[in-house]
Amino acid sequence: MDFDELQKNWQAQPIKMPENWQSINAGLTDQWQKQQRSVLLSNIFTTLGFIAAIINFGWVYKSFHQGHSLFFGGSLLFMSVLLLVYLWVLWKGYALKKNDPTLNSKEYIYQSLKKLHWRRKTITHFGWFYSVLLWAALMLYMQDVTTGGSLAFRIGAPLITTVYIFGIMIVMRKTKQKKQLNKIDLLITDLQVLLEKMEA
Amino acid sequence: MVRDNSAGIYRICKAYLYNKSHVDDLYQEILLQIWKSLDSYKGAAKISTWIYRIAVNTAITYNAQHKKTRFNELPERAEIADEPQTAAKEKESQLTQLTNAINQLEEHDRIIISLVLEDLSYKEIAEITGSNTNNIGVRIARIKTKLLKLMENQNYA
Repeated sequence: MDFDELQKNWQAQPIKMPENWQSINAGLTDQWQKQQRSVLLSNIFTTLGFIAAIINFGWVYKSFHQGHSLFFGGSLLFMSVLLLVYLWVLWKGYALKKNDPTLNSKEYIYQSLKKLHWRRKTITHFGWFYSVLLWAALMLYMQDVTTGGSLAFRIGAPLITTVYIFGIMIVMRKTKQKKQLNKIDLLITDLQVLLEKMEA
Repeated sequence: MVRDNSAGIYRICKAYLYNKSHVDDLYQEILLQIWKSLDSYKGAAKISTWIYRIAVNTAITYNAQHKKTRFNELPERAEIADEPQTAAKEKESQLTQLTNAINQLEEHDRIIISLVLEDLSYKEIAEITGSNTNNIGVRIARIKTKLLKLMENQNYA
């Protein structure tokens, strides 16, 4: 069997491609805008929500800081910083979705792997670290605002907040995060095998 | 320029994908990626090389993301008639055998052979895949031999 003949035969094979180029073009514009819109909208809403929260913290501090300890302002400032850090991570994650497809394939896979490892680290490490810091800031805040309250209130409020924060974290870890990690791990394994074979 | 290479892109999708029912979706995805990247084309590489690079990279990502639906299709049966076949039928049968043989290659070999079948030079294939230009010739020769052997095996089966 002659390879050149196979090649000619392969190139001459009848293929059914969408014929109307203009409709493809319009479809692509649509798809692209849809993709962009969904991620952007979600990020913009979160950003607006966080900015509203930070403004609210400012208002709480300005209106009620007299008569409170340093923990009051410190905890509000700390929570604001945490929200800003989270926003930075969120927008960085958005940028990570854009892989450059014009690189050569080895470089492209290598870059994709780096990004996947970063996303994995964000889920496994950053989530916990962030929640613990947020919890600590809330505890500082509660320590201050519950001063003078009954013992049950001073113990109950932080306890309910703690159970809520860590409860949500555990549930998310066992459901959504587990699924996300499984998907990322599959992609990492697959791309690593391909990269190894390309380098062999 | 995309239109000039559209048939080649489509054939790459067909050769590379495990699940042939996804060919149209991948083809659309590749066009979308090219469309999105048009601004970044600086003219450093030939436009066809640049387009095929996007096609291959998009196909790699697509295949990895659709791993759950990945499977090797049952080989299509090539007609082996007792009577002499017409030229058209013979070509069709050969094409079926070729597709089945490509389906049995490993993922990376599929990428390379799909580019070879599009008549790209060794230099272009090395540039697209990021392989060493000195080794790519040996690699292609090995894949071609494997492919022809797989096709011969189908004839004996």
